[in-house]
Amino acid sequence: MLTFVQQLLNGLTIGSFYAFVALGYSLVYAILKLINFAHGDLFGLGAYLGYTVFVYAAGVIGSRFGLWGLLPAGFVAAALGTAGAGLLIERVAYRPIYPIGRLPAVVSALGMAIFLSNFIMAVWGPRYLAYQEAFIPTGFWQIGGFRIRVLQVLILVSSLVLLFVLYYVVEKTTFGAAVRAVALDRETAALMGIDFLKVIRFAFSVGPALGAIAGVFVGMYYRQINFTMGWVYGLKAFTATILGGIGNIPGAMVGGILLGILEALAAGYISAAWKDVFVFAALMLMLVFRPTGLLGEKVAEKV
Amino acid sequence: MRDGIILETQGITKRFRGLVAVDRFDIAIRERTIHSLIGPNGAGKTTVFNVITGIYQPEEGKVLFQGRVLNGLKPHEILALGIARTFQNPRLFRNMTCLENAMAGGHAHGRAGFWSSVLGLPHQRREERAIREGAEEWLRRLNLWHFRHELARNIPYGCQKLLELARALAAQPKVLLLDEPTCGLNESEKETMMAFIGDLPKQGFTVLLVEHNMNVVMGLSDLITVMNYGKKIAEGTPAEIYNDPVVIEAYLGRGEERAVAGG
Amino acid sequence: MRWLKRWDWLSGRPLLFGAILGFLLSFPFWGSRYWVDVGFYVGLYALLGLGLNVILGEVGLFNLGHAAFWAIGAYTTAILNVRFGVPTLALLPISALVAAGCAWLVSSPIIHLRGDYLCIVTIALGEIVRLVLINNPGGFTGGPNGIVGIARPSLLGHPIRTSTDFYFLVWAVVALCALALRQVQRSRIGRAWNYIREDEIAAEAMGVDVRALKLLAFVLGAALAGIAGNIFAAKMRMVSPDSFTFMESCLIFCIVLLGGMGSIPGTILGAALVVLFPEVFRPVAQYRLLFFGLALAATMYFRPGGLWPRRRALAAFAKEGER
Ligand SMILES: Nc1ncnc2c1ncn2[C@@H]1O[C@H](COP(=O)(O)OP(=O)(O)O)[C@@H](O)[C@H]1O
Ligand SMILES: [Mg+2]
Repeated sequence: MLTFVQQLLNGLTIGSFYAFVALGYSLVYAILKLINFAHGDLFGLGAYLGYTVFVYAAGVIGSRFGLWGLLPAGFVAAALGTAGAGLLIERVAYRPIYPIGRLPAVVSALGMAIFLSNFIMAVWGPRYLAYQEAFIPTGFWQIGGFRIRVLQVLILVSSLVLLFVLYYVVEKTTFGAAVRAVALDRETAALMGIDFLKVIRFAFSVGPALGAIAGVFVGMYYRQINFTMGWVYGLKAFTATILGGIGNIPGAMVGGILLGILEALAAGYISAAWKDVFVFAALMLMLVFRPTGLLGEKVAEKV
Repeated sequence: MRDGIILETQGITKRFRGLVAVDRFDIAIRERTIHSLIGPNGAGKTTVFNVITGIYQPEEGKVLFQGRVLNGLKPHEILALGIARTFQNPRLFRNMTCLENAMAGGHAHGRAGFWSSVLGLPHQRREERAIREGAEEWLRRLNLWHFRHELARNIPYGCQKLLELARALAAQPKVLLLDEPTCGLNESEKETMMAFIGDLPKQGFTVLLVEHNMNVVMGLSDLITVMNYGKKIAEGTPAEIYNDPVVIEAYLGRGEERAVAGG
Repeated sequence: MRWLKRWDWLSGRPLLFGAILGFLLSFPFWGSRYWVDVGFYVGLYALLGLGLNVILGEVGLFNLGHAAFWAIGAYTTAILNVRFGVPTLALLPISALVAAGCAWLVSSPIIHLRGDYLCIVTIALGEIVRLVLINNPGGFTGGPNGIVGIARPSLLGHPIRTSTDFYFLVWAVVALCALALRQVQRSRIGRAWNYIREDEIAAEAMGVDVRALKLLAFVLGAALAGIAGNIFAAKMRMVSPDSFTFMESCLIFCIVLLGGMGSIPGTILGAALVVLFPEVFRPVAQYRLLFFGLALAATMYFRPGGLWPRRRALAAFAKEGER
């Protein structure tokens, strides 16, 4: 029972990372019907930007305002920087290419993924970098037999809050209606006077920003980052996107959390070495039996 | 097969989520005739085509072709039995040449497999030649010969519609389902198309025609079935349909169609 | 006018192909060993590219896990040779068959998926295969270190040993496959593949058995990857999971799109570019993949159809002329 609760908590934490990153895939896919392969590496870039800010601002901000002053600075800087990178990639590598066709766009996205991860390697080096104790909330609560880390609570609460905000924006505001209209049918939305570029900019800034926040959290949680992390988390997060139903915001959240729990339980009860095999097998089964995802609706193609 | 009926549907129903697109629909098509299926937009005509050709499976009812039940068969099996179709919006193989498009019709009649193609065995070559000649024949008859090496996406819209027809005819079908063949054509193209379709029964083809242009329908059809909201509302010869109050009502109810119906 | 046509014929593609062939045949005799090895890799990736070209280029199935079939071929060779002593060259067809069989098994339930969904499943498949190889089930795959000690192949008692030997082996296979695939391209099967790529529903409605033809493409592409795996294992004399990463699948994918979907010479050109790119950029080794990523995006912008696309209309004309 104890290990079960502990694994569940771990699963929820990892699941929030996936959910964060999955949202970025889902937003872009909903609007452009393009798998943004570079998104995983934007998440990696976020982790590195956060690291850099922590290292260089520790003296200035950390000494004056302490850890709780340093953290927001790191998160905001990482989110802003990564959002900027997301917008830049959209502008130079996607916008000129997606009118040409989907396959060229996929190749361009792959190209950007390769570019970004190698860019990170060129700037920060190929070796693991350690997030130091000084940047990480290390406290914990001991309740009964198991411990809850402050960091875990921080991750869970902030993911719930941010995901709820995003959900509210997309589902309840006028701008959100525009986003959904574009997702449903771009031509009709354009005819109704919806500014397509604005919606695109939204997807390519909010998605990477959320990814960057997840990246910083991952750095804090595992205390180390590497230039290949984008690909590992990107693939998992994409799996989560599919599990929940691609292009569907609550779906991405549910898919991410579920995937995290599935992975933690598989690691705890079956074998850590085989956990990813289970995750990917689950993905394949999902696609075979319910290709529209858990929360997606089945639609017949119009002929 | 009862008295010359080659293709019929019995009580077919197709739903899309809540919407009943086709509702217990019956139609029986007599061999070597032109049978038209008309009705306002969204009446369910295209869906009937999709059910007959196996693209959708009906929730209820049967499709019978020469006495054989087609339910559960895949589209390619249905084509091989002898039902070919065109689409409302041309669905050509856009990045292939017109000749290659027309040759698609011959695909189902070929037998050569992978290895005989790799080795270029004599029977495979013979078959290729037959497919090619069959396709060329229809390209000539539909005046598309000069376009044979053009990519399908580069030829004018009217020619694309003709090419779809050539592709379907090259499959040597017994029944041809044509979904709005004159839609989007200019007057002279319309006339060519009409003359061509009118000639098909004499060559042994049976035609099920969906068409909005009443001149075309009244001029060509042996029998007309009218549907609305997925249901059959009337059936008869052109003269009977032209004066049927139920039909007029159906079109009047949708305003804009009246002009076409009257014109 | 006839002589004009003939002149065109001489100066046109046959001349180009003749020059390429002459270069490829003579290269090992004047190139250094290092460059002969590079030439070998161009051939190997060309083979992988030709296999994926059937799946992705001809039929339009997004397969981003092609390295899995390559791995299956390589490991089949390694396991059967090292553990059971089967001669390496005899394993070439067997590797192809095993890879094809695996492809048939895994693709049957997923082949109906469209576009991006298939893409994701194939990525997952590639990862599953790699993870299984690392996890060493039953001690068969040797875990992260892989399997070493694969015997050199020998052809009619003549051992295939030097870089030059392997160079000719791989290019002979590439040439055979290219010829065979060209034959298929011009048959009803090749056309049907393209019909599916262009419009699956129309293809089905025109009598194409979409499922069977997609499976055929998958199995055939995997078989070529299996052959590549055998040759790769024989050349390296060892196999390990790091050779078959997602990055490799991406590279093979890019080979097909760089060259031009469904274009056989394009695929070979794409393989040459992808293999030579890092060689040319060796002085800036650290940044070469960075540039490669940019080059991919740029190519898709300037030549979305690939660098050497298949010229349908002209091919048809040429055929007419021959008759
Ligand atoms: N794949 C589909 N999914 C949902 N609704 C559909 C689909 N295909 C057709 N419909 C609906 O079914 C009805 C009949 O359509 P259709 O057969 O195309 O009409 P028609 O061809 O007579 O104009 C329409 O209301 C249409 O919106
Ligand atoms: Mg219609």
